Amino acid sequence: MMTLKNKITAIYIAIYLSLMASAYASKPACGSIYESDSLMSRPVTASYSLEIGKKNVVATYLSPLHYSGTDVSLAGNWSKALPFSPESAIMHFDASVGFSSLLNPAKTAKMIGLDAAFNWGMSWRHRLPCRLQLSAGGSVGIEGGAYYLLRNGNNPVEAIADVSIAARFSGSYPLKIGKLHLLLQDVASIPSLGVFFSPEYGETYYEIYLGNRKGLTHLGWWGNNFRFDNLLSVTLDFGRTALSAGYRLHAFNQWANNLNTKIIKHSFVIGIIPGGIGLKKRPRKMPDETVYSIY
Amino acid sequence: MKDILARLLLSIFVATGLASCHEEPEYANDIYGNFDALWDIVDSRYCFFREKNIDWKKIGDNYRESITPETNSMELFFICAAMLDELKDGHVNLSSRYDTSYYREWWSDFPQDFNLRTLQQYYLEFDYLYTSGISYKQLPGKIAYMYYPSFSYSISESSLDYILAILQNSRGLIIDIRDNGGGALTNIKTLVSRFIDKTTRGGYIIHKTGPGHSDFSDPFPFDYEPAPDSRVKWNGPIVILTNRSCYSAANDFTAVMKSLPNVTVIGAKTGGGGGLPFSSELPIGWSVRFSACPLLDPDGQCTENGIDPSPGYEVHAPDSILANGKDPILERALDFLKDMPLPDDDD
Repeated sequence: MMTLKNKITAIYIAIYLSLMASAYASKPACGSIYESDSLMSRPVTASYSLEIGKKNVVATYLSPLHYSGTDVSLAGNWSKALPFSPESAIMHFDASVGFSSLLNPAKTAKMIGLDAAFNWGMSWRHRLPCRLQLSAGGSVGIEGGAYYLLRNGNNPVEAIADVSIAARFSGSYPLKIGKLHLLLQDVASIPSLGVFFSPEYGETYYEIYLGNRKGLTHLGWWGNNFRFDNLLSVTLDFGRTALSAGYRLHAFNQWANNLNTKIIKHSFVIGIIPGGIGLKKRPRKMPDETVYSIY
Repeated sequence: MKDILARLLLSIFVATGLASCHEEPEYANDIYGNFDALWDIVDSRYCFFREKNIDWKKIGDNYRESITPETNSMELFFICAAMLDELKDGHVNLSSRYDTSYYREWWSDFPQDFNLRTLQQYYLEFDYLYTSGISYKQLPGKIAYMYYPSFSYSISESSLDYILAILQNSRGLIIDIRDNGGGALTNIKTLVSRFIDKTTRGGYIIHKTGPGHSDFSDPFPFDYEPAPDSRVKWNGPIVILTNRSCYSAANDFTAVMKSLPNVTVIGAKTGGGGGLPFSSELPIGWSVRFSACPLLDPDGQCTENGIDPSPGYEVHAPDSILANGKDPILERALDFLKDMPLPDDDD
C-alpha cells in the first residue's frame, strides 16, 4: 500500500514527465547526429568522461565509522538544442556508473561501493552580452547503488535507491588564449523532491525478503535527502574534437529511520567530446546555422 | 523584490540542507573512545535488554571504572569482552586479530546430553549414508534416522529427495539436531517444506526502529510453504532430538517443528539464540556482533531462552551412560516410534 505522501510524489513525477514529454513530442528525434530543421543544424553534443577521486562514506546501518578510499566512475552526457526554441531550450541525458573501494580508519575492514545514475531533463539558457551563458532547468533521475561491508553478517549491505526531480544550473564562459579555444563551465545539480528507499533502523534484508515492506519508501526533500553535484570544468575545443578536464564535488546526505548516510566524493574528471563544441570552426562545411547545446 | 526572493530561496536551501546533516558521534581511537563506541553500539542496537532485565548503563559505568589512561589495547579488549558477557548471549562476540570473545556459559553450564562417538559406533555402526551435511540410515525396527549437525551445511533439494525416498518405508523419522549450533535460516525453509502439506506459520520477526531500548517494530509474521508435489515429502510421525547446544537456527527449527501436530521434541531444552545478529565495529578496528532482531515462535513467544521439549519428553543423557554405549534420548525416541504403523500397513 502506498502512503499518501508517496502517492503525491508519484503524481508529481508523472505530471513533470508528461510536461517534458509533450514539450518534446512536437519534433521526434532523428537517428543521425545532425538533425536538420530547414537550414538549422542541432548536433547532439556527447561527452564521455573518466572520473577518479576520493570518496568518504558513513553509513550507520553498516558501521558508525568513516570509510574512505578510491572511486572510479565513467560518465556520459548527451545534450541537444530543442527544435521549438533552439537558441534557448536544451535537452540533457546524463548517465554514470561508479565503483569505489573503501577502508575503515583502522584498515581492518573493506567496503565496496557500486552506483549508477541516469538523469533526463531540460534547461533554458540565456546568453548575456558579456558572453557569459547561464542556464537553469530541471531533470528527473534515478539513482541506485549499494555499499557492501564484507565482514558484516546479517547487515552486510546498504542499498541506495532514489527517484527524484532535480534543479540544474550552469554557467559557461568562452575564452581564447592564443589559438586555443576554451570554455569554462560550471554545472550544478540539486535533486529536490523524490522518493527514496531506506530499511528501518535495525531491519534485516531477510525480513524485507520475507515480505515486510513497511517503512521502506520515503518522500525525499532537502531536509532528509540532500544531494548536491557540481562539476567545474575547462574544455579545450580543437574543432573536430574537444577535451575537458575538471573537478567534481558530489555530496549526499540521507537521514531516514534514524539511519544516517553521508557520502562525499571529490573527483578529477577528464573527458572527450567528439565533434567539438562549436567554439572553433570546423574544417568541413556545416549548415548555414548550427546551434550547439553546450554553448 | 527579486533580491528578497533570491535571499529567501537561498535561506531555505541552506536551512533545509543543514537540517539533513544529522551529526553522528565521532569516537577517538583511544581507550575511552573505543570503550564508549562499544557501549553506545550495544546500547542503541541490542534487542534483549527487556527480556533479560539488564541495566546496561550500570554495567557500562562499572566496567568504565576499570579502565585508565594506562590501560593497553589488549587489556581493553578483555575488559570489553567481560562487559559483553554480561549480556549472557551466545550471539555476542568481540573480534580482534588475536581473539574472538564468546559467552560460553549458555551451554557449558549444562549437561551435554550427546556423544557423537556413541551415536556413530553403537547406533549407526559406522555404516551410514551422508549427503548435504546429513548422516542418515534406517535403524533396526524400521525407524528412519538423520543427524544434521549444523544449519551451515546447505541442504540440496535433490539430496533431500534421495534421503527421504531411501528412508520412506519407516515407522517414523528421527531428526537429531543435538549439538547443532545454527547456520542459515534458508535451510530451515528447505527442511520444513518437506514436512508440511499447507502454508504453515514459521514465526514472527521484530526489528528495532530506533536507538531506544523500547523502539521495536510490530511482529511481522512469516510462513513456510509446502514443497511442490514433485518433491519427496514426509507425512508420518517425526521426533526431533535436542540438547542445550541447539542454538540459533537450530533453536528456530525446533520452534517451528514443535508446532506441527505430528512432531514430538525429545531431549533437553535448547540453548536459545532467538535473535538475528547484526555486526558493527570500533575505531580500533575490532568488530562486534550482537543480537538485533528477535525471532518469535509460531505462538508469538520469545525464543531467546530456548525451546522446551514436548511435555513429558524431557530426557537427559548422562556422560556415564553414553560412555557405555547407550543414548537415553535416542532410546526414548526409538521406544516412542517402535509401535507406529509402517506407511504401507493396511491398518
